[in-house]
Amino acid sequence: MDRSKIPLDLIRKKLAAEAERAKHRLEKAKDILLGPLDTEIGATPHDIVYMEDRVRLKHYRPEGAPRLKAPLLLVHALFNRETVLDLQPDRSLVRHFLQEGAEVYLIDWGDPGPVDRYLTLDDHINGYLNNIVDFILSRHGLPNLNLMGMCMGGTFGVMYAALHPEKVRNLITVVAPTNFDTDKGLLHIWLKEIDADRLVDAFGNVPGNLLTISYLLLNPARLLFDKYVGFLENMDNKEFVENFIRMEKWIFDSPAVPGETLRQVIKDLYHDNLLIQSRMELGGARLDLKRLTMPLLNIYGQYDHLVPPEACQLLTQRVGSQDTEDICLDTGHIGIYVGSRFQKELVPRIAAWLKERD
Amino acid sequence: MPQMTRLTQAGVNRAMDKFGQFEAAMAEFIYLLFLPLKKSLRDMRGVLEEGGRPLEDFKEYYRQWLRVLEGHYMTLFKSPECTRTMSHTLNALEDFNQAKEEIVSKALAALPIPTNREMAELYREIYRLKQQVKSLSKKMADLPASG
Repeated sequence: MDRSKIPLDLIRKKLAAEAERAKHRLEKAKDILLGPLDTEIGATPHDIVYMEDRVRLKHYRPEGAPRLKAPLLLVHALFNRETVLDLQPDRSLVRHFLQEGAEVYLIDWGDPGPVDRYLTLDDHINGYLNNIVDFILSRHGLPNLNLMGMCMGGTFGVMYAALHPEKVRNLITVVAPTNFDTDKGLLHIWLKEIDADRLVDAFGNVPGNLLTISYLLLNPARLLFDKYVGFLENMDNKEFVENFIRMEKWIFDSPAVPGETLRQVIKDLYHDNLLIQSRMELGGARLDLKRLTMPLLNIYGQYDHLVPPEACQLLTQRVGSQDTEDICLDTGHIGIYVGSRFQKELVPRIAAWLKERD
Repeated sequence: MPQMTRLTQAGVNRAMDKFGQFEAAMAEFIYLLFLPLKKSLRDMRGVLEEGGRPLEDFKEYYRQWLRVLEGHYMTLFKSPECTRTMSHTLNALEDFNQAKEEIVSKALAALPIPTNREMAELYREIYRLKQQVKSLSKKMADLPASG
């Protein structure tokens, strides 16, 4: 009988050493997990300066005098919380922008309840977003502002800029899908098969838990397994534990999405890909991308499996602006928000780009 | 208490059927999710049995397994079979949700409590009225100030 070639002795020896280390780690982790932990998210000081229905506008003051004339409005996706932009003190996109001298406003889309189920994309773009922009412009006495949209918030930004180009001085889109005719991203593949009418008719607002499960399924090996192995390996490190809990709080706190809005997103974008063809309509007006004549900075991640480069890179070719730039970063979707290296490199680059056009 | 009429019983049976169908679809989907795990462990066994230079660290095996697992999941998730099963599971959940809603609506009809369907109509009316108020407010704000 052949002897097994598996180096069992070596594995056993390593496992024994690892078990010993785990024992010490557990002893230390006990004190950390039972002690006080700072796991607050969205902690950068801010004021709520505008409210409409469930939507709130957060205002952050820059450190020192503003070094950019036009304020920066950050628009995040409806599908998860805006707190990912201010997740932890040393990895806060908001805080990095404040350090660059930007006056930052951030939209909190709030928690849609049953009363919000009939709100459409038009209500979000021409309603809430437009009212917020008008509020900021009147507050600063300016004709236009800098708009930066992340993920589907960037898609919202593109829609808004196509409808109200005169109010957007510079547009920045970050991992924002605009071309949905691709089979590179898993969401693009999955949503093609989803019957939007049936989904919305059954649920009204689509529950946040359902969306959270779909995000976790995008990479089960990392998000349902390796992440917790990482926690077990680092649970004797207080800072790691605090940041781990912050991220968990964010992931498992997805709000519901207003049914009619999701119906339109699935049908007009994921099924018919109308936006990039300038065929989409909101509030009776066609979204003509040639009306995007303001400077456009389009940022996406090379390894983004949620919004792949193919979903982002067509935009700069389709807009009317002559001043466009694509930046492809070697990271994934969430890495752009919370990766410390990317925040340290990306934010100064965006700030410099804005300063040149301020 | 609402009476358990034959029709009510039929509604309950229908909801139970839908729940059974949802459970079956979910079991099939979970089985699909388990396959990459099975395949990755089989692959790793092959790697270990091939021999060659043993990896220095147990974590190296773990990292290698994780990469293999990720690859199998990516293949699965891009397959039409997975998309079809996922869609089927979601449809089954939607059907169960609607069948459950019907029972609850019928039960509440005998009580002075509004049903979800009635509330949905009310929310639609509120939405319509809010749109009207916002539009009128905007028109009023745009009117020139009367002197």
